[in-house]
Amino acid sequence: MGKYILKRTLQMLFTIAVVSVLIFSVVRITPTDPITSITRGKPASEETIAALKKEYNLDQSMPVQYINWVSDMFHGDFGKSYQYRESVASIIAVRMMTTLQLMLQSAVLIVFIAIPFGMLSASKMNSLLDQTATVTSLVLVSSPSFFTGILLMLLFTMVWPVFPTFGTGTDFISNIRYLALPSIALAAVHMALIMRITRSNMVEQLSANYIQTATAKGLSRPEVVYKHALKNAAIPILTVTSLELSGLLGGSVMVEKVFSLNGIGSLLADSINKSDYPVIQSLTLLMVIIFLLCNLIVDILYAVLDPRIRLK
Amino acid sequence: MSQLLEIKNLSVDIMSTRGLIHAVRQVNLDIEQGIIHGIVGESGCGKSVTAKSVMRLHHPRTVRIRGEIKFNGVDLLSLSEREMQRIRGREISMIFQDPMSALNPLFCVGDQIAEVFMHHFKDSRAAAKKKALELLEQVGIHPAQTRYQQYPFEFSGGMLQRVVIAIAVAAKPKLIIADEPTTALDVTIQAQVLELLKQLQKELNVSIMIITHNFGIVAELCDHVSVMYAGTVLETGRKRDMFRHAVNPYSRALIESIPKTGHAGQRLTTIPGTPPELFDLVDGCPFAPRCDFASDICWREKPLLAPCAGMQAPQGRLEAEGESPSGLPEGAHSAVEIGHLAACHNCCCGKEAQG
Ligand SMILES: Nc1ncnc2c1ncn2[C@@H]1O[C@H](COP(=O)(O)OP(=O)(O)OP(=O)(O)O)[C@@H](O)[C@H]1O
Ligand code: SF4
Ligand SMILES: [Mg+2]
Repeated sequence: MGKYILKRTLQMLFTIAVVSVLIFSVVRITPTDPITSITRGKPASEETIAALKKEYNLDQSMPVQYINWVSDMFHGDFGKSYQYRESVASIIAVRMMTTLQLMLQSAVLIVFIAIPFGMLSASKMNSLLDQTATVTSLVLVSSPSFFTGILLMLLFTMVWPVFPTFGTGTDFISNIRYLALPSIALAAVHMALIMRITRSNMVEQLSANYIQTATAKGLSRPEVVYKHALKNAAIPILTVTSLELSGLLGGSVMVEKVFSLNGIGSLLADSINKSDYPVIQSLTLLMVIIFLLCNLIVDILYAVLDPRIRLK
Repeated sequence: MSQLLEIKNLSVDIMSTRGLIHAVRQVNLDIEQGIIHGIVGESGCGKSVTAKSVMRLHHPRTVRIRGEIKFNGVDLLSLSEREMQRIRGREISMIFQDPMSALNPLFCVGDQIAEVFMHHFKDSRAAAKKKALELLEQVGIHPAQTRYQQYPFEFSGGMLQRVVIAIAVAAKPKLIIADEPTTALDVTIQAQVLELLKQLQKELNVSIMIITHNFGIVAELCDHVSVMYAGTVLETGRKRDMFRHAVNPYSRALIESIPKTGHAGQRLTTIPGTPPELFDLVDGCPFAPRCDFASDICWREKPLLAPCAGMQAPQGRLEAEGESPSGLPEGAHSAVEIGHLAACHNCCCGKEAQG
């Protein structure tokens, strides 16, 4: 088990290293000249350009630039933003809280609403509840987050104004209300998908032979469903959930734009517009790392749950 | 002759995507205390559906069950689901066909046995484990300590079926229903598993209802046999009476289709035709389309299960073959005493009215 985790961690670190090279190169392949981004297209003297090149570490060869970038990151320095002329770390830190909370609220919706509803749907297959849930999720799964977002905004400004439709509060608690609609918009597609996956996996497990054995032992329905079937269904459900959760950061780009939130997502959108490479680089790498971490956690949970993996 | 299980007029209808299936039709079946009772019949004749009805494992929304299933005098069909849960695994347990999929792949086998003790006797984890270890030894899984911790994927089919049997006997039930317990196993393993069942049956004095396609297994194992066809019981009785004096042509055909050892090269008797689909209810005998002895009445009237010990002339070949059962003179109406029942218009007993 320990060996398995170690192996997976090393694999992850290797992937991060490869991806960092990729990100670094791809950003530099684009035709825009970083100096133009820094000066925002204004003409600059030779000396200014030389000074800027030095300030932004652009005066060295590519491999050295890469090594500097990586080693700086190990010291908590993610470079300096071209558009804000501030350290990337501090810009991200300021914007991070909103996005983290947005993701957290979405994750809560996914884990505590979508999964239980999927299970309920499965154990009451073909009931009214199941059919309603099925139709709802089919609608949701086919509506993109900006569409859901705009729909929610219309609904909550014109019909039922209980939740604020833009901006953020001052602290975590007041933010919960502000982020209610954005998190629903962000989570909706994922909730629908995960509900479907949960339902179909539970249905599959509930018709498996070992369920009949468990029932024939005299176990109650909840014991059969939540002890025997759920543990088996958990593996595929976990995989998809982790994939979806790690996709939330990417999804926040659109949702933050729609709801005018100052988070990581809108920062990334702005940075791409303004060719702010240090920010793009750091955020992309951050997304990749979050994605890989989710995968690592799932791999470990697999091994915890499934002896066939653990004992190999 | 105490009846442990009395199935009376059991009918089971299953809603399927292709229509309503009348899978079990007015079945009457008694299982005595302390014996092994075989249920034989071709595929799709309602054996498993009958067995699952006893355990009440059918989906209540898509399956309708009518009739009575009395276990120790209590009608199981009238019990609440909670009351039924106290019967399942404790009073009646079940062994399924495919041991490879019968156990939860994510729990170690020992815990799956211990679960029975913890559930039905409220044993502590440690006490349940101790009992489960003893049980593993008893069903021939050694060394129990190591095997306890292992998962189903680390076992062979035969060993898994032993674990399933351990689960079935754990609470010392009065009745075990084994639905084709050896069909999925190699021939050599089959014999071992049947031997284990036989031995446990003696030790625990439990009744076993064993479902099989194979009259060979009946010959090996059973005290009583019932023959099922198209959702009905066509004949039921003691094994030796069945082998010597089976009345119903279908029972006889099944017996004749046992491959005889030492007769290599001899053609295997098979029954021509296939069993009917179970969508429509029929008026006459369900076997009539395939029966060599079918007469007009067979198409018109359903033969009822009644005491019977022989066939009408001119099929005298039965009498010629074997000696008389229980030393009684040939043709004597001994069927009532020995509980041999057959559903066939071709029976010579108890049919004076039609004679
Ligand atoms: N869950 C179900 N849904 C639809 N039809 C079913 C279901 N279970 C059984 N049947 C039908 O009921 C009939 C009897 O099936 P059953 O499983 O009792 O046969 P069996 O005698 O056990 O046969 P086998 O020897 O193949 O196991 C078959 O026609 C089968 O197709
Ligand atoms: S009742 Fe008639 S058709 Fe049915 S088994 Fe007997 S002889 Fe054959
Ligand atoms: Mg069957």
